[in-house]
Amino acid sequence: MKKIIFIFITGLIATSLYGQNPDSITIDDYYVDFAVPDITAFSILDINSSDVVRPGNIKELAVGIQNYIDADGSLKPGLAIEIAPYRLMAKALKVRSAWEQNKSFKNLQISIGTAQGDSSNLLAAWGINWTPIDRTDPVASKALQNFFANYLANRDSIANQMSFAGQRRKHLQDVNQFINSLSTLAGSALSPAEKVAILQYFSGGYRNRLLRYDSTDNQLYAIALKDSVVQEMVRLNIAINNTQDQTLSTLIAQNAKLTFTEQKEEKEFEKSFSEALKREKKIFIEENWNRLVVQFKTGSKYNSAENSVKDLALLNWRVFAGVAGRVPGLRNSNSTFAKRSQVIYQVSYINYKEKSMSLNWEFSTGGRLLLGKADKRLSAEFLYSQASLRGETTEKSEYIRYTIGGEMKINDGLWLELAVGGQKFLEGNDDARVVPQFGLKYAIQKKSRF
Amino acid sequence: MELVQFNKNGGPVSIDVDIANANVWSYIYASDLTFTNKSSTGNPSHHILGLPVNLDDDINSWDIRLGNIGTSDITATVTITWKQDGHILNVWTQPVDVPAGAATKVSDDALLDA
Repeated sequence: MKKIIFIFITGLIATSLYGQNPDSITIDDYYVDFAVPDITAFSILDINSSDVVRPGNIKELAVGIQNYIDADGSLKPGLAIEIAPYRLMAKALKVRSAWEQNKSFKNLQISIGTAQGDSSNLLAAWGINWTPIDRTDPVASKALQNFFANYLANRDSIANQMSFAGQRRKHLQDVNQFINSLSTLAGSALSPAEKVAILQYFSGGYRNRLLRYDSTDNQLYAIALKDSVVQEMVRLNIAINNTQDQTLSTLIAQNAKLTFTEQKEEKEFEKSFSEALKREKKIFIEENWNRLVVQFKTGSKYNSAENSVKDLALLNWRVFAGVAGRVPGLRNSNSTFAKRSQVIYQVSYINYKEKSMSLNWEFSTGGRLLLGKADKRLSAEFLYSQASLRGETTEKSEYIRYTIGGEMKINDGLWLELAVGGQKFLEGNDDARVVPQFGLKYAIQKKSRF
Repeated sequence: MELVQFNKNGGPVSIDVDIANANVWSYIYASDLTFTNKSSTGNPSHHILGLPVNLDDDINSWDIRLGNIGTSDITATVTITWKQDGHILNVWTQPVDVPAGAATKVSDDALLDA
C-alpha cells in the first residue's frame, strides 16, 4: 500500500509542478480542510489547553465559576472550564439511571471561557461539542465491552482451579474454626463482633493486607500479622496455649502464601489485560475506522467593554455539522471497497457581527471520499463556499475547491497529507476571479481526523 | 470484614450486587454456593444465599473485577446489600479507582451470624 501511495503522490507532484502558476497560487488556496473544527471556548479565545479545568462534580463546577463571575455580574479573565454533563450528572445517584438511558449524551461537552481583550475590554466565549453517534469508538463498542467482561470473568473461572475468593473463604473458615476454639480468660466464648475483630487481620483484598503488614517480604509479613493478631487477642483477654500458638503460626503462614501468590498472579493478569486491550482496540479500529460518526458543534464569542455580564455584545457565532461513514448502501457489506472506503459530509456556517470583519457571514459545505485503510488512504474532496461581503456592496463571494491526494498517519494525531487541487470563483470581484489551476497541497498536521 | 447478622427463624438470606460507573466488570461471590456474573450478561445481580440454618457461622468471600477500556481514569462504586424478608441486614460499599486501560480487583469477606 505504501508503494502505491508513493507512486501516486510522485505522480501528483509531477502534475502539480507542470500545471501551477507560482505567482497566483499558495498552498492555502488549495487546502480543503475536512478535519473537524475545534469549536470550544478555548480555541475561540486562544486559551492554552493546559489551563482548562474539568470539574468532576457540580460543587467543583460552581466553585470554578464563582471565582470569575461575581454575584453582581462582574466578569474576570482566566475562566476556562469544560464539563461533560453526562459524567457530571451520572455521579448523582438520583438521576443516574435517566442519564444512563441516554448514551448519546455521553459525548456532549460544554466549554466556557473568558480572556483579556486587546485593551481594557474582556472577551467571553462558549462552545458545545456533541457526538451523538460514534461507531468508530472502541470504548463505546458493546462487543469490545463484552469481550473484556468475559476476559475478567475467565480469570475467576472455577472450571480449572479454585478461585482466589474460594481459596480465601476456605482459609478464613479454617481461621474461624481456630477462633471458635478460643475463649476469654473469664472462660466465655467470643462474640461475633470479637471474632470479626480477629478475622479482619486475615481477610480482605491482598493489596490491603500487603499495605497493612509488609509489601515485599513473606517472613516480615508473617511476623507483622502475628504481632497484630496477638495484640488483638490481648485486648480481648484471650490467652492461647502452645498448641494454639502453633496453629496460629500455621494459619498465618497460609495467609502469607495466599497473599503473595495472589499478588504475583494478579500483577501478571493486569499486565495481560492491558496488552489485550491495546491489541483488541487496534483490531477494532482497523475494522471499523469508516463506521458512522455524527457530530454537531456550535459556539459564540462576545465582547464586554465594562467587564460585566450585562454589556456582553455578540461578536460572532458558528455552527458545524458533520457525518462520516461507509458509502451509502454498503453498511453491512463485506466487500473490499466497503471496508476500505469512507464518505464524509460537512456543513459549516459562521456569522460575523463585528464591524471590523470583511464578511457578514460565510457558509461552506462539502464532502470527501476516502479509499484505503484507517492509517493510510487516498482522498478526493469537494467544497462549496459562499460568503456575504460587508460594506456598501451586496455582492457575494462564491467559489468551489477540489483536491485529490493521499494521507498517512505518522503517529497519534499526526498526519502527513499530500494532494493537488484547484479553486474556481463562481461569483465575486472580477479581479479575484482565477481560472482553475492545479497546485500542490502538503501538510503535516496534528489534528483529530474525522 | 463484614458482620452480617440475620434472624435464624426468618426466610432465606439474599444479596444484591450493584456496580455503578463501570461498563466492564465481573464478580465471584463464594459461599456454600458460588455466584458469578459479568457485565456482558445483562442479568440482574440478585442471588439467594440460602436458609438461615445453613448460613450460621459461615464465611462468604467475594472478588469484584473492574475493567476500564476507556482513555480516562474512572471511579466506580461497588455495593453488596444483604437482605432477609425484605429487610436490609447489611450494606458493603466501596469506591474503586480504575486507571485508563487497566483492570483492578476489590475483595472482602463477611462472617454470617444468626
